Amino acid sequence: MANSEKNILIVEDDRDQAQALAMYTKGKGYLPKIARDTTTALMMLRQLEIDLVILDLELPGGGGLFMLENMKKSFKTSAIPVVVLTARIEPSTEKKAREKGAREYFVKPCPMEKLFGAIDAIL
Amino acid sequence: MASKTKDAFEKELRLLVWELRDNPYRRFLIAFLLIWAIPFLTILYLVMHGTEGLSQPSIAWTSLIMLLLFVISFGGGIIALRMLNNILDKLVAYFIRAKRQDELKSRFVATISHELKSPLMVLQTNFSNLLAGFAGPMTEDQQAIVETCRSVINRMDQLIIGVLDMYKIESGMVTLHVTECDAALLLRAQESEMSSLFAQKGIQVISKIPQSTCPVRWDGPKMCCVFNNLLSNALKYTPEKGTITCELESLDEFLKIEIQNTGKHIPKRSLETIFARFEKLDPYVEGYGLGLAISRDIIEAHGGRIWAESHPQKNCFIIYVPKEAGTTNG
Repeated sequence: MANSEKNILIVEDDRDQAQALAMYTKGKGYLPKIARDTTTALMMLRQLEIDLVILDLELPGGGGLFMLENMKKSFKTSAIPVVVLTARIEPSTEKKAREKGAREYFVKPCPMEKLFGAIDAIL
Repeated sequence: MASKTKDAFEKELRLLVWELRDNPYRRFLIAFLLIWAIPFLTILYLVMHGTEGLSQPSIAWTSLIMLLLFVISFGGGIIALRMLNNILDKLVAYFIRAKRQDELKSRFVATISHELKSPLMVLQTNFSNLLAGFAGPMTEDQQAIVETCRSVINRMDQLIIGVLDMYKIESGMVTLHVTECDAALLLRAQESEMSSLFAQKGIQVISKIPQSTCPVRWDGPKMCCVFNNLLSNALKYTPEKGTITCELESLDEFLKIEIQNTGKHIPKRSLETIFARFEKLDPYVEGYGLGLAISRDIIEAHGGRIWAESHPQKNCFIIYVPKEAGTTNG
C-alpha cells in the first residue's frame, strides 16, 4: 500500500500545531485527519480506517493516556500503532504511555525527520 | 545515605501520625497509659513486695505518696493528651502542606514545559514544512534563513531543559536512580561521542582512562550528563589545535576524574563563580551557563565534590566522587 492510501490521525488540541503537522504528513504522502479532543478522536477511530495515530497527551476530554486506555478496550482500535508527541518530559509519563500501548514517544520540539523516520518504519 | 534515612523516618512518622489521627482508640490507650503508668507501677510494687514488712506510718506515707502520684500522673496525663493532640494536629498540617507543595512543584514543571515547548514545536514543524518544500519552493537564501531559525529552536529547547533540570534539582524533585555501572565506560562513551567535534577543531585528545572496568554504583545517565557538560565546556574554551586531557583514577573508595584543557586560563576570582547559574566565562561563547551548576548539583547528590583549578595556559576541572553514590559527603 502506498503512503497516499494510509490515514494518519493527528490528535492535537493546538490548531496551529495540528495544521502544521497535517501539512508535513500530507507532504510525506500520507492522508492526515485531525481530531482536537479525545472524544472526537475515539469516534473517528471507530468510523474511519486509521493506520496510525500521532497523539498529544495534554488534551481536552480525558487526556492522551485516557485515550490509549480506551483504544486498548476495542478490538478495532487496539492494534492501531500510536506515536506520542508531547511536551511532557517526565520519564514516568513516558513509562506510563508505553505501558498503555504507545509504540514511540517523542518530546516536543522534536525534528520532523526523526518523528517521520519512526512513522515510516512503523508503516 | 542521609537523605534516604531522613525520608524513611519521615515516611514512618507520617504513617504513625495518620494512624493515631484516624484511630481514637489507640490515642485513648496512649493517654490511659500515661495517666495510670505511675500508680500502676506503685500498686505493682506493693503487690509484689506486700505491706507486711512495712510499719503503719510507712503505709500511711505510701498511701499519701500514691495519692500524690495519682494526682500528678492524672494531671500529667491530661496535659500529655493535649500535647499529643496538638502535635498531631501540627504534624498533619505539615504533611498536608508538604504534599501540596510537592504537587505544586510537579505542576509548575509540567506547565512550564508544556507552555514553552509546545510553541517551539509549532515553529519546528512549520520550518520543516518550508525546508521540505511542502509549502512551495524556496531559494537557497531563504533555506539558509530557515535553517538558522531552526537552530535557534534547538538552543531555546536546551535552555528550557536546563532551567527545568535546575529547578527540579533545587526543589528536591530529582532523586538518584543508582545502579551498577562502569565509570570508565561512561567517560569513554562521552569522549568518543564528541570525538568528531574535537577533530573538527583540530583538538588533540589525550585519554588516560583505564581500559579495565571500573565498577561503581551511580546514577549513570546523570553522571553522563556531567561528563558531557565538562567535555562540551572544554571543547568551547580550547583554541584550535589545542589539547584536552581526560583522566580517570581510582583511589580506594573514590574516583578522581580530571578534565584539562589548554587555552586562556580562568581568572582566580572566577574559579568559584563559574559554578553559579547563568554564569559564563565568555559571554560570546555558546551556551547559557547552566552546565556547571547542574554538574555540581549532580556530583554533590552523589556525595562528591567538583572544583576548577587554573594554571598558566591550562584549566582543570576535578571531580572526586565516591564509587558508591551517597556513601560520604566528600
